[in-house]
Amino acid sequence: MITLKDAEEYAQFSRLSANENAALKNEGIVKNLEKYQQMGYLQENCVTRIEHPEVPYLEYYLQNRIQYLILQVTQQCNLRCGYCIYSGAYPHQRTHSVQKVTWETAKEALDYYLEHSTDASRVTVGFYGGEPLLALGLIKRCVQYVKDHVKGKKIAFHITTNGTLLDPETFAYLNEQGFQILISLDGGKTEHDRNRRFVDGTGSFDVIMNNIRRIRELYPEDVKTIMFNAVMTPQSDLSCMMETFRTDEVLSDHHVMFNDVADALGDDPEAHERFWSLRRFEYLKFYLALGNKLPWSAVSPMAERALSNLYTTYEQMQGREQMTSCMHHNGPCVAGSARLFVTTNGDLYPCQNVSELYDYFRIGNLRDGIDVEKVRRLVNNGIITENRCIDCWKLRLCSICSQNIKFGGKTITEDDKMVNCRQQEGLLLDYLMTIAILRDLDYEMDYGAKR
Amino acid sequence: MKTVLFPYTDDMEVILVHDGFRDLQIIGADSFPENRVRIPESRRIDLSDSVGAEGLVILPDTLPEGEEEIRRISGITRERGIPVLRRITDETDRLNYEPLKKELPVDEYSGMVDKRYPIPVPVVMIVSAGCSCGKFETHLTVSEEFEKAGYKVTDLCSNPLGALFGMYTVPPFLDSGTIGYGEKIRTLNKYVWCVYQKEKPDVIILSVPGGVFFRTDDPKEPYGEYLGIFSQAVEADAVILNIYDDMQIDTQEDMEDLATNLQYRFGFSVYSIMRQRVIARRNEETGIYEYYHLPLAGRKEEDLVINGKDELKETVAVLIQEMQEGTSEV
Repeated sequence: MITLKDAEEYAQFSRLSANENAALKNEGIVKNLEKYQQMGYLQENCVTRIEHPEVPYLEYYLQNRIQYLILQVTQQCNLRCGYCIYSGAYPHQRTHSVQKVTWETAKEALDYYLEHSTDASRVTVGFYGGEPLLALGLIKRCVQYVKDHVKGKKIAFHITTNGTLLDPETFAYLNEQGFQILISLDGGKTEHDRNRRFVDGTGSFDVIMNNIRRIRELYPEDVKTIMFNAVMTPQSDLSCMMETFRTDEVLSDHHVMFNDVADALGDDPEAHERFWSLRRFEYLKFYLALGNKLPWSAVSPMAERALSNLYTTYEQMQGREQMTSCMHHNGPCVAGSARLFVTTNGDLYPCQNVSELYDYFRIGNLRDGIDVEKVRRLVNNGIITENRCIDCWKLRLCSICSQNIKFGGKTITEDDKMVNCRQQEGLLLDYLMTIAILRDLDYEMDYGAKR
Repeated sequence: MKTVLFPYTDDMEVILVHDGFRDLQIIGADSFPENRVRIPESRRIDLSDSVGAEGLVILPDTLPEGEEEIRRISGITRERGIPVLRRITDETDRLNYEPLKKELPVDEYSGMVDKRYPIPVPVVMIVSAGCSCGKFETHLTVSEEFEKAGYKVTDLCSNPLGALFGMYTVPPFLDSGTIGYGEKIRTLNKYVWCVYQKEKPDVIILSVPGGVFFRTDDPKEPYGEYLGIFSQAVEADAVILNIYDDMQIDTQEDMEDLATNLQYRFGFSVYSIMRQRVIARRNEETGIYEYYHLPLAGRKEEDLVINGKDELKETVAVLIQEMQEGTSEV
């Protein structure tokens, strides 16, 4: 990627991009074109086909290299969070139910995973809900089963919990088994209890913090391994949330992830504007700090996340390796291999984020195994827009996973995917503008360096 | 020597394929419960069962996750007097083992290196695009074919498991942080010459650790310098290059471009390019490369062969013929 600072060069390229016929007859323009071509830019497009590079190896991956099993142990939860995807507010997602996995199905899922992960370097099992700690007894059985059947690989267990049932005894068990624990906590009491409430409507903050304090007293070092996930909604007071995690004596030692719930905004343009303007303000402060125009104390940790994405894109933009005739955009993982999500009734999905109501995403079941063709469709989603992708300037920079595409549930059409394509274009143009502005602020993004 | 293999890995599968080569006899293989199913049924044994007193058990380099199981096995082998071989030393290891290596004693090659030692016999060098790209299996097959053709072969193998077949392993000075690049080249040249003097072979086969293109995750050798050292230390008469399965080198033009690139960078001519059924992928969680050996149609016993052995044998047969006729271009 280059930034044109020379006014004459800029004018020349403007004429080219405006498709002026005479431009290519101009000696100066041709000379500049050749200069950049020798540097590896402005190469002829050689892409003739869109195919994901892992397509030839799908059968191998699905047979031998399933890396991460996520087991839905229950669909029940003791909270009714306002923004929960299972709250009934999302038409393409299921709702809470009393369904829970039987030991027979859980064992079948573990056996399937172990049999199909012989070439994976480690064993990773995650427990998901609802609220997974409602099925602690079953989780314990699963943990022991894995440990009895895996002797030569590192084993990792993950759990995402609302924290209300994470008493010190439960924490001690999970910690001893090497669990990575992620607690959902949306900042201080006001922010958290706005959405995260028990079934009877009372807030859950006090119960969670009481648990964490007790764990902290008994296990002052081990407690630090707990991570938190904070969800930001349009009503969230961002600065208050940030301040809580930064200064609270119990929470400040922990790693926190922040996630937006933009989907909950619906079609309210004012809500969208409010939501994004707050974020843009945080990102602006961050970029000003990079250019030494603002102290870092004014910058929120959430905004630092933005830089990570920006750097990734910047590094991708630097790439001048010649593309090959067969390419595919980023986004799709190897569905079913990178992650395999098993529901309470033994159905298989590529991850826990997809809709369990859409057969499009159901890639098989424990009895029949994984349908390779369905996986191929998810992994190779570039062919939906093949003709557009072949000629697209951002093919190498784009990232579209099928899970993020809104569609009717039966099949993803080109029009469906083009919505995401336009969003990607907007995002990349934003990044380009940001990089140019940072350069104007005398901040150079060194290749491979991070703040 | 009667040998038992544990655990079952891609390297162990290669050894199993070459059962019987140079007096190595594999009694069977056992593994951790999670991948015991990979072992062909007819070759699967339970280590707890009685094995011959000569049996050797080969353990992996380091396996903290499997320590409990390895201790159990070590208990069995100690009780029966079976020596245990391990690939690489682990200073923190408390288990009894013998290191798997074959090297010249230092005093046989140390000292000032003030000249270049020409190697008076043909040298076949096996290199690869990156790590774990099938060099070990290629090396074993090439050595076998030369021996069948009546040649006396001496090997320097990039994989320490080569010592099971009497091959010299990578000399320790190549990993030294106290001698420079140039010194390593000169010392390796002398080392190979000393090996020649000791063994008096008809041909030397070398496989070079690391790769041509990929930055490795080996902290000792992050920038793939081995090939630069080997190619300058020893003049190869034929270089066999292994590439990964998904490398887009499909046309004659692609191969010629690749050969020109390597000629420019390392000064050797590629005799043959062998596509291996191996792919390299970076693990997102750990950030390091992992190498996957893709099986041929299922894992039946007759499909133990990982790579195109017939093609390689043909290539070696042609090479041998050219060398005998003196018509080899390299």
